[in-house]
Amino acid sequence: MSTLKGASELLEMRNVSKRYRRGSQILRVLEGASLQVGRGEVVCVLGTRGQGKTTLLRIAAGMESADEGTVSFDGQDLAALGDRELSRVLGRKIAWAGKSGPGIRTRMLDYVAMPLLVGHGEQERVGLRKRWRAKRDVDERAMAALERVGAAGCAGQQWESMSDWERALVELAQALAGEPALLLVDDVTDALGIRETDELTTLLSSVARESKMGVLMSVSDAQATLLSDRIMTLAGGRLTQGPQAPAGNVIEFPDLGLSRRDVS
Amino acid sequence: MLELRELVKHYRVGEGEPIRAVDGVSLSIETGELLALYGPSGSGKSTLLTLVAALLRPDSGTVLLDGREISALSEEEAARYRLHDLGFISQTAELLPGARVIENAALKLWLSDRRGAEARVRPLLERLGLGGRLTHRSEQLSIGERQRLMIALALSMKPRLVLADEPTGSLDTQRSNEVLALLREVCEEQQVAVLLVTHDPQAAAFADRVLELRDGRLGPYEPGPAHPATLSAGAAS
Repeated sequence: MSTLKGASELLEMRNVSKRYRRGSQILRVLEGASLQVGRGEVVCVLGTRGQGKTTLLRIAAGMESADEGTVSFDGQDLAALGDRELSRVLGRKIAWAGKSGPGIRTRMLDYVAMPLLVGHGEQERVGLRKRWRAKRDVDERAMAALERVGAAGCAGQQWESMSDWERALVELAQALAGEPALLLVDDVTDALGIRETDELTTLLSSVARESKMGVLMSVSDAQATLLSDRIMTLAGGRLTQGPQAPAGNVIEFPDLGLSRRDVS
Repeated sequence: MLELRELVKHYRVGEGEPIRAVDGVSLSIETGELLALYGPSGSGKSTLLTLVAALLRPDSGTVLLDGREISALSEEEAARYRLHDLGFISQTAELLPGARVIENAALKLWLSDRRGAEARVRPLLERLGLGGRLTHRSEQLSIGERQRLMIALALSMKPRLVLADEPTGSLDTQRSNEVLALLREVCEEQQVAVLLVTHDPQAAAFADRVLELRDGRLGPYEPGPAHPATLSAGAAS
């Protein structure tokens, strides 16, 4: 990651609009949404289900294009990147943690390693001096990512046998394995209890600071905003700046019917 | 090829009566055959697949693949069995975000440290109608294309058996029919058996054989005269 562009935001979305057509209806999912995420900063997008949080994150990741507005990552307009370059950015610099789980029934060490196996191109991969060495390196990096989130014990486990908490940690480990510059976290706290949510946000916050990584997370649970640097709320397609995160025991989000209490 | 003998799995929730998720199921599937297990939700279909995948041990009974007892495998052997001998297709295509179509299809081969993974999966992707999409990212695919990519991933290691759990549950009827017809054709060509569980009679119509699972017990599939499966029984031929 270049630090020369330190003055610019890591992620900047400006006036992003997105509409979907459903039959004869037009669904206005996002209307003029703007947000910034800096290096080492955790930004939460809080909204109830079905408000377009995932769409917002997908547009931030370049997985979907905006109908209007711009998305720039590290000073580059994502829409102006060629397909190859966009794939490189997506595979290497922007990581995604969701709740989907693996499409392959395999141990979690392999699952965490998957993003490390893609994005090189086959030539580069087989050109490595010894392939077994390459696979061993990948396993070591995957293990380090699991250790970083405190889930080393999950390495040999199967997705089906793990709790929601373990699954959230493994998803996070997979996203962190490639040491991305920007981490997008899509509502992984949804299935967690209050203590686990606090533990996960604490972990994300320290990882962001240590690695100067930008984190944009969508949450439907106000509790998950606890350690974020900034809170944005999303309702009716409108993204607005929420109350400042730190301090206070209770923060109310009257428009969303949500509130948060800090845990001592 | 795959044989289930008197398979039993009961769960106990609290102090109540045990739930007889799988209650004495025996069946066999031949190479290249597509067997559908039809049943409503809660009939034990998914538990049965979990037992065949050795993700769960039966209370009693055995799972045999080519005479080998799957239900007695160690954890490590079971993991190898799932990677090498089985392919999985579920309702939602769980693909790796940001990765290209060919990379997603090659993941199992890479995890097994096989050489030339991309060259191996390319013909399979072409056969599944994804030849023009190889370098697209998985997010750029339609839902039907994503399911076809899941079929490629499931078949990439040349497994003996594919376990398909409501594979077209998120597709409309036309796309569902296209995907199922393709799954059937390709598996027949490659001589891979398919165990398909579904609550959709339309999907069951693509099978060589259909059995019905109800309250953990297997019985004959008896669609009524106005049953959609009866009406579309010719769809797979």
